[in-house]
Amino acid sequence: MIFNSISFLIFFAIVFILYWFVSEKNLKLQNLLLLAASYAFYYWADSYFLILLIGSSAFNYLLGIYLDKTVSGKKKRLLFYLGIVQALGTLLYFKYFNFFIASIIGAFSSINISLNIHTLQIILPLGLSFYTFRTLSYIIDIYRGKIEPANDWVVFFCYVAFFPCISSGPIDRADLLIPQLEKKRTFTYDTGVDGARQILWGLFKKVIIANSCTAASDVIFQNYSILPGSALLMGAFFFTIGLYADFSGYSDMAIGLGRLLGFQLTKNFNYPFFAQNVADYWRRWHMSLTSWVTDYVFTPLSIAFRDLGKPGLIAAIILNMVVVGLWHGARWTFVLYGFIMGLYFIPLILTGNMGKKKIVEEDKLLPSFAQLRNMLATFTLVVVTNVIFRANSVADAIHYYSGLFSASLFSFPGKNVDLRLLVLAIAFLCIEWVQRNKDHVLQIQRIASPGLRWGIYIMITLAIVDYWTSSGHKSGFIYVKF
Amino acid sequence: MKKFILKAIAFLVIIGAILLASLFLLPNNVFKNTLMGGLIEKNALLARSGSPKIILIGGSSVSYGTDSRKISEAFHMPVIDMAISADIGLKFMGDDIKPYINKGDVVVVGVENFAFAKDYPEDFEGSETLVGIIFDIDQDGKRYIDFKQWVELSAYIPQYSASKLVNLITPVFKRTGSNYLYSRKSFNQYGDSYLHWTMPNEPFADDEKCTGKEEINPDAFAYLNQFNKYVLSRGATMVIIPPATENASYQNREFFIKKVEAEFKRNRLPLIAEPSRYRFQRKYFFNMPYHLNKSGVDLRTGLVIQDLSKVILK
Repeated sequence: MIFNSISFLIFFAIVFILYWFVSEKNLKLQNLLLLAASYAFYYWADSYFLILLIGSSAFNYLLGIYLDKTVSGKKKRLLFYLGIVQALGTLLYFKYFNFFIASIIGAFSSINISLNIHTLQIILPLGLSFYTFRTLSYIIDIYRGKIEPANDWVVFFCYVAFFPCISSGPIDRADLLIPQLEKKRTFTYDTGVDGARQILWGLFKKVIIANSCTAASDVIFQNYSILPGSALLMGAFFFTIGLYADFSGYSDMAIGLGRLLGFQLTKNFNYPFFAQNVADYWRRWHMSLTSWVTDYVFTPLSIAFRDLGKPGLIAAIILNMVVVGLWHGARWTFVLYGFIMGLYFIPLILTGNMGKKKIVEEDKLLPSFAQLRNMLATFTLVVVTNVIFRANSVADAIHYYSGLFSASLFSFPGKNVDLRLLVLAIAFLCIEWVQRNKDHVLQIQRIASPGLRWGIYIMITLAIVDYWTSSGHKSGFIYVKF
Repeated sequence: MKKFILKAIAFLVIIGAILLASLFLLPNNVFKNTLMGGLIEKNALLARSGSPKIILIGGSSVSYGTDSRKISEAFHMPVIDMAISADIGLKFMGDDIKPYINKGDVVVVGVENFAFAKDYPEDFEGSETLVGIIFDIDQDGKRYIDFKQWVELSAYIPQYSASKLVNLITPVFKRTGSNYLYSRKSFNQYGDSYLHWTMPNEPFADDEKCTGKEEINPDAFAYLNQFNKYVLSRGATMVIIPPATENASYQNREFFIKKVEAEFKRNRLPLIAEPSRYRFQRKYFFNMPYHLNKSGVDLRTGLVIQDLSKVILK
């Protein structure tokens, strides 16, 4: 079951009614309902691995309590490492085992040594990377004394499996979500309406922008060897817009659903294509992951390397970005993607511009020339680098680049590119630009006429309904695979 | 909360009213002039063809992958290519031709593997395309739709209604001139789509790789068994010939293709060729992993004639 399906609409309507009308007065009952709904959602999407989700929740719940109660430093450290081994071990087995085996086999075969080991038929459990990072931060924060463990198992199990975020985040931290689960939620009209608007905009991004752009980029990436450089550039552009609309659309829907249930979830995107440099881009793209790796990977690394000065900072950033890349999946393309993204930080570190937030002023409709130049340069870097992210292998990426950076880059892409889609994608970016200071694009209260606002909502809804099939109603979210 | 619920209901009622008005009141000339409109001519062709005859059913892999004239010449029988699109669904494809099956006829089923996948019930029951057919092209077709199928189609009715509205407001897809590839006029006298035979290949995307979790749709096999019995009861013969599939997509879908093949054998359904026999190189495909260009059409048609020779005496 995915958000952009009729079955989810019916599922959520039932949960919403039971949540606010049947169980509202009893917090425990409301949380139990949320847990049952989360497990039903998960079972529907991935019946094979519900048991793993429950097992991981139980293990980390008990570990959190023991970790907090343990006074002895040695025993505490042992319990802490046990938690780390469980989380990373699960992740390594399901997500990275075959990658390591294949890499070892490949490395030995390159020196003519044939190893008699094989990869396994392993299916990746739904949302594993997301909920593992959630439990991992929970255990680390308890160990560091930053948070208290959850005392109510229902609350903790809900935190791990919360259905709006289970398959693609945001990766909410325990200190944000658990306190909300422990206290009574209230429904306010304004929050509910805004949540519904955010869901509508998320659906628009997913069903219309993402599905169309992803389909167009798939055709180009799978036929790159016979297409001109200009078409390949469009392929990378459509892929980038599609990836953003897909993932941020999911996040909008997750946040909107959370708001309808009385929760405030972590913001995951802040108009990343208007970033002024790569550091700014990563502060705006998949923000819950960036903040997670900053706290648990980059900060410890930069402390460990602090005596090395700027080279130490560069090494910490590059390693951090490799982890970000590898988080997406077990492929050398993701490692390379992270590494190259890390390299882009070097000029910023050397010029001392990494931490500076350059934001285009709220009251200005158009950016200055320098801001526009920075935005275009950053966007171009992201588009070009995303070729590695999308390619099936490093060799494919290299071949794609050799086609892209050829004389045919300046030719007309012709009928290989749907120009109507290009116009749609650019119009989408322009709308986002105008609304860049809002939490989401459909915060249009400045339009005074309610009739006009409703007209806009109705038009968007009809467009979504129309595109539902023609863009492939089964198309799942890209980040669910990660 | 009350205000929120009331406004949400009001919003849904407005959307529902617009869609209902669109479904029942608006014409859909755009849809009628697409390939789907060709169903009227195909049914007429089927009705006037005598028996014994060869009837081809399937998705666009059949209509975009067959030269029926060659088959007709090989077996000295009329051939009617009833295939249009997989979106119509296997069940409607079968039900639609039932009244025309007579003694000595050969029904060649060439549907794509998705028609047998639990994850793609629309390729068995039909989807938005079938909604368009039964509301705006062949209203009598509603008699073939059973309750379960209506439940499946109900999810597509809003989409079809919205598409009528969009077609009316922005006829951007109005490329339905007689030369256009997906127009009603793109079929030849046998029902084959032939306009692309003179066109160069276009880039296309491969089918996604199987996850290993794909399951068989038992309803599709139950229907095919029942359809086979009906064909036999009319003194006719049913055979199954796999669709032509582009190499990379075949590889990506191999897990499920093999599963479907095993299910055909388990059900003792008359599959007369291995699916791998119709696995072709990319150069034979026009704009999809199932749409053949002229060279591919010739290759596939030759193999179909060889396979049909096992059941039809020349």
